[in-house]
Amino acid sequence: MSQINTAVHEPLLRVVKRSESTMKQKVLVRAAAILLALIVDALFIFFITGLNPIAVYTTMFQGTFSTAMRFSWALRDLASLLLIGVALAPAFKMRFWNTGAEGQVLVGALATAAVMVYYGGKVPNWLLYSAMLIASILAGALWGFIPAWFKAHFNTNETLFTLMMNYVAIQIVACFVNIWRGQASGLGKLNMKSKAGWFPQFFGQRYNINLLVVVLLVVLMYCYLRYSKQGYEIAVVGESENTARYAGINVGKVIIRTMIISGALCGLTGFLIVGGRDQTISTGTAGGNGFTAIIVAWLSKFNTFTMALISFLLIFLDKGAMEIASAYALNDFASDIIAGIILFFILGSEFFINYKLIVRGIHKEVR
Amino acid sequence: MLTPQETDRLFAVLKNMRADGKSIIIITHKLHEVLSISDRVSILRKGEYAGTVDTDMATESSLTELMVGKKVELNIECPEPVNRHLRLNVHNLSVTNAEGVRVLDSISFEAFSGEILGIAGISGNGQKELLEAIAGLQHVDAGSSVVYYPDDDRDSTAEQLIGKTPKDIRDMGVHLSFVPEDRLGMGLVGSMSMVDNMMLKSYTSGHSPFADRKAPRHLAEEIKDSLGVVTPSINTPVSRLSGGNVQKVLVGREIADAPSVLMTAYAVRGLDIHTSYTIYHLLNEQKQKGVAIIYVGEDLDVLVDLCDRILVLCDGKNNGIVEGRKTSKEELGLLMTSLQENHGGTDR
Repeated sequence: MSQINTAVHEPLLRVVKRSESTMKQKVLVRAAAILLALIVDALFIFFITGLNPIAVYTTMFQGTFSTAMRFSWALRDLASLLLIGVALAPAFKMRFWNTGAEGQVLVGALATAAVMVYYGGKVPNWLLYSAMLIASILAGALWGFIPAWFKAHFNTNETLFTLMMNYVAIQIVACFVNIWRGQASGLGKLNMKSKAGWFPQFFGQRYNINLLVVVLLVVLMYCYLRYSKQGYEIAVVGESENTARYAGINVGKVIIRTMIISGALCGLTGFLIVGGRDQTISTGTAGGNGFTAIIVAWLSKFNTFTMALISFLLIFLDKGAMEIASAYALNDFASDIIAGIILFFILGSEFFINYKLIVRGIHKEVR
Repeated sequence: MLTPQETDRLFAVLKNMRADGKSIIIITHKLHEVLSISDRVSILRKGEYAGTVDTDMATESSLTELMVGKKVELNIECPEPVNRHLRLNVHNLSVTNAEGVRVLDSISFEAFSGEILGIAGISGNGQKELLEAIAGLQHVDAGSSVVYYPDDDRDSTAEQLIGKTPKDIRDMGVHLSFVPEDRLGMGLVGSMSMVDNMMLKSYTSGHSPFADRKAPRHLAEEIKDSLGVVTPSINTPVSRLSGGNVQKVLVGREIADAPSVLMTAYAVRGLDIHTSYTIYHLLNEQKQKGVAIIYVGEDLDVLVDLCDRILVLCDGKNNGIVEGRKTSKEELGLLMTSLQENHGGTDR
């Protein structure tokens, strides 16, 4: 038989899945991504806005780190975002796309506020705090339970269901805010005089309680998902309901239980926001964090420690963009683009952690 | 999957085409088919070309040697059942699926300890539903009954399995092992490691809210060594393993549970010949330990060689049960394709 030419035309660039990436590769890829982002950003800053890239980067950094107050604000916002991310982790790990965190936070916040309005100053402090806590957790759990129950019994689409529940929550909050403000133009801080239900300050830091709870929950949720039997059930249900049934797992029960946990933690976030941060409530109490947290949960692949890093990155970029906009009187869009380019490169680098590019002609024979 | 009769007809067509001057390339893993139809055989092993031989000069064992790279014993043993007693009595089992089609129609049979009961039939004739119904994973029609006998044929200790979930069945102390057809979609969790897959059915044991991973780790090591699972580590997600290794993990786990009933669906589908024989050997080992084995297969040669008795499913009905030692492929093929008048009545 004659030798047949089997060579095929090789494309200039090929994408190949990496079998396993080492820690070193991962760090290198990410470092390269950040470097590249800064270079591209520098080009944008220099040619489009005409500013000095180094100065802009410094300003961006100052958005979070210039003063203790700024840093404290960044931590405060980080706490809210990260808490919701942690709350979403079990649901997402189960591939239950809970897009209703915004609403679950709001009903938790509303329950807290209601306890403050109706019982503030009338009961001892310890009882008031307990009531606020329990009410917020129950309200959030209920908001998580409803879509889960329908999913378990009628296999409804959880993404749409939880999303719509947000709007129900927003309307209920709007209604109560109107009732409570009465003739006033705005609701203002609740219990302004008595400060009943306001979180006390520890060690001179206003948001210490919130931060403490976040740190605790990050660790607890990590252990719950990784080491507990329930966490194992969640992972199996998320991977395949057939396998779960084969393993003897009651799928409906796991869905409902997990969403109660997810909703309850969102409700708890509402409690911390109202009691520990805002001391008031509005339809913007959750501030879109319920949606941003979806990105956080998704990017971190439901690992709560990674969530902390990603939340911090998002907050840092957000604060940085705002700082640039005000310091250089730049258009908001321009500063968002500067922050967005960095985010784009960091997220894009995930692709190169799982895949590599092979350029025609220079690849080695892999054996 | 063709019956022997259909295969003969296909081969007749192919031979006519050859006589007509056409080139024909046929890909198959059935060695006797290769020998009966081809003129030359090229063998691939693990993605590499292993050689070409003239069919006249080849035998099943010489081809296998080229395929595996070493000599393999190609005899499937079928030892006589010892200490055979009733283990499962399936009576009048019917399943109607979501579309209202009766996929299993009044199936009745008995499975005995120390015996391999084969289930033959063209794919999709109720095999999946039959096994899942016994395992508690399938809604069955009223009047269905699956009775489990723990030690002997006494009715006093018998347990009805219908209406129980897999967890109920396990809690009753019934060690029912099941190697489902869909390995990564039902039997294993693809994204999880061997260790985590070992605990799929046993993770609830103990009172701690935390799952014990020590015992599963030991078991994973043991199965990796004893069955020769090729994997970078027992912590590698099982979806990264080859089909044969995935199946070894699954079969290994199900056997480690010390089953009294072992059901396998297409246990060797897609496996290389060497791994297939490993699996047959494992099944025979379990049979001799007194396990009642229900083996759903598609290779009729293997069914005839391996099984003590073979139940043939046709159109969701029991189309007869034949003795593995006395039957032939042709008889099975016929039963698979044409429904007998008194179906279900030809038991033993």
